[in-house]
Amino acid sequence: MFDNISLWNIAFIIINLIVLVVIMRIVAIKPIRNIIKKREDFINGKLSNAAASEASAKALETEWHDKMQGVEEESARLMEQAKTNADIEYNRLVKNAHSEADRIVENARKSMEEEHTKVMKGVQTEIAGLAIDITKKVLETSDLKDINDSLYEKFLTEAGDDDGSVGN
Amino acid sequence: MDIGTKISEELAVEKAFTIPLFGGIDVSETIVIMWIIMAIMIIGGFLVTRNLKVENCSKRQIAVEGVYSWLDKLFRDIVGEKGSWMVTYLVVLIVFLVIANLFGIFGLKSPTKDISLTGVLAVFSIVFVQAACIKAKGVLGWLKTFKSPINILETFVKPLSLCMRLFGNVLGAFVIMKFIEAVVPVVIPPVLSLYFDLFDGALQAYVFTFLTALYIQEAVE
Repeated sequence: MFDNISLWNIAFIIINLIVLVVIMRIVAIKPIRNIIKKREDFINGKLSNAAASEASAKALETEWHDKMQGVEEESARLMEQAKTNADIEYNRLVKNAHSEADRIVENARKSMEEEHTKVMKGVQTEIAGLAIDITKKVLETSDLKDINDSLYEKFLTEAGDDDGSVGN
Repeated sequence: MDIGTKISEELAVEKAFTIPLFGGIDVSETIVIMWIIMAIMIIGGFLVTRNLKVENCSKRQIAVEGVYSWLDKLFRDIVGEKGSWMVTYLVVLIVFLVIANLFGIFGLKSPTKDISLTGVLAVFSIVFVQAACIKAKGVLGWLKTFKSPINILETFVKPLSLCMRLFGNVLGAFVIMKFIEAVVPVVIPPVLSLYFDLFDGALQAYVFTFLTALYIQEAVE
């Protein structure tokens, strides 16, 4: 069992073991360690990136929130203002319309009155003319010419005197 | 031929060939089998570490990384930060011992059955443990560890026990297996081979490297 221990064999074994460890280190262990290290770095990089992204996303969200609140207030304010403006405008328009309508009605009334006066005047004149004609004819055909001469005179005088107030 | 002679024959480490230099250098079977194991490890190690990627890694890469990380963590946790430069040696050693111990399954003689190899490994352990101690504590600190005779004795007893444990276990398993094969050639040997060659081989490889790591841890603390 122990009779074949030779120094050469021991030397070979030592060399073999050293060579094996050195080659294995270069060929297998280093690449594996490198790749594990690389992956760790990669993952750490990704994680820090993710943290940064999250932070920026949070900041954006806060900003958006603030903005949205501002927008809401602004819109409420605008609505309020628009309402006020509309009310004012409405009131103004209604008032204008009222006064316009009043003015129109007044004008219409005035022109109607004028027309009425004018027509009445015309009618009076016409009636006066007709009355004269009728009286003339009556008097011409009547045999009471002389009796009524004084009456005729009186009528003519009255008609001529009260010219403006005949129709009333 | 009786069983004893047969086993003795199987146990003898024969010389494989002779290098015609310096009046003939005998190269034993152990060396040749070591070369085979080295070839397997180096070619295998080279092949499994091709195309390693950071992302989208293959199943092979995941398996390789998983096994390596497991062994690396196992030894790194024991030897600590100060002895971390020993991890490479320990990882290579455990792989080598597992393959060497399992060689019996293929009908080849396991090189760990040769006391030359286990002896060299024990010497390596002494050297590495002391080197780790010097590196961690300095020369003066290292000399202080030899303050009592029991410490001096320990320095040699521990690696010797390592060497003998491995050698004895592999030898014992080999002898028992050969004996059983001689007595009951069918059914029983494969079943027992599972224990003696597979389980015990892997276990002894683990124990050897684990204890070496423990001694290094003791030395650096």
